[in-house]
Amino acid sequence: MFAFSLLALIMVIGALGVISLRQPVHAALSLVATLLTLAVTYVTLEAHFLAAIQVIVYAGAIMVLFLFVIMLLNVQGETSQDKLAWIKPAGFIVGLFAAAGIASVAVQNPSTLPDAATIQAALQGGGAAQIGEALFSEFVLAFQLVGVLLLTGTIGAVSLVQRKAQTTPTLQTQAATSAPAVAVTTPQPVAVAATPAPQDTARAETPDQTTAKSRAEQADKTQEKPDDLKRIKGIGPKLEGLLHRNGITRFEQLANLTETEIQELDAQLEEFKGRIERENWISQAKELELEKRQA
Amino acid sequence: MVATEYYVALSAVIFAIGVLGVLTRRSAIMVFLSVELMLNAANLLLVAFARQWSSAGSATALSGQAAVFIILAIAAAEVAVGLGILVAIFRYRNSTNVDNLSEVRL
Repeated sequence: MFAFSLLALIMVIGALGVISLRQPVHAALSLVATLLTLAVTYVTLEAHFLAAIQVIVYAGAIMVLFLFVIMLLNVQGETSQDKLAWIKPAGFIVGLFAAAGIASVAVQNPSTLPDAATIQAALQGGGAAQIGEALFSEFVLAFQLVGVLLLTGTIGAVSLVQRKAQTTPTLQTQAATSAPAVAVTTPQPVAVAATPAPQDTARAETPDQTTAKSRAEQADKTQEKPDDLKRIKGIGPKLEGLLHRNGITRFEQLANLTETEIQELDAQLEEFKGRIERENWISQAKELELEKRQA
Repeated sequence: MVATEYYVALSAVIFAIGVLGVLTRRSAIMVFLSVELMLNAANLLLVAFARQWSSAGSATALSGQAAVFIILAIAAAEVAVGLGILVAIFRYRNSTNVDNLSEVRL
């Protein structure tokens, strides 16, 4: 009983750590603690082979994959902004009801257990030979299907990640080669880069409003319809609205931004700061502008 | 020997914590970790009941443990595909916040 209490305590603390720690890496390590404790619990339940598998597959392979992805994506802790404020208290209530309900059923229907010797004889220590016998007789269909599933899963995971990796570099190189072409073939003097110097000093005083206004004027002058900025990878409805408010409605405007203008615009993007560079909006915009002209 | 009820109660607590995590965390990775908690709570239950059932007759005693073995394999496949999707979403959106992912919503 003492061993069980200790294991249960570590497990619950680990589980609470998983859902409460802010940093994903800490949460993942907390889950590793829970999974290792679970492996020890399996030993106390006469499932020795499963305990070994739990350590090797779960605490080993799966958690390494998790940590790999967390570090690869460089996921930061969650920000405090909350879109659905009611979901947290609701989640607590649902969780409490779930725990109380299942636990009360477990305690209300007590049944007597046979002595340890009977159980050990029946389970035969839960070794690999015993489980193997069950797997290859009673569960042989499930076993085969799991093999197919694992193969499908592996292929799916590889193709999910691979496709993007192949298309992005080619897009970028195309954009890089076509970049000078856009600059040369620009027929009208709409390039924001060509705005005279005095405007630059005015912009330095009240940067956001003047640039936004001048860009909007440029857009009005050409009388063109706004482009669908969402076609640029990384720009969603929210970012598109933000760009519109800054006077940017067409690919051409994005394509012709100068270094300083990019920095100014970047400062206006609030929580999306740095996305212009990271997602290559400029080269993407050049690409799309070229496409539009050819059409 | 610890009674099965205690294992059931422990499994319930772990599962409830997992549900809580899925409902309250916003990062897709954290939701994923919480799902793993729920899976493992179910596994603990299966192993505990395998021990309970071993008294009834040894023919089905190991079924619970064999089922856990298969669930482990499925969990591995699920994690591989899920993390693949996560990486793809992150490349596209630069965020794993599940509140932002409303494109597929009707």
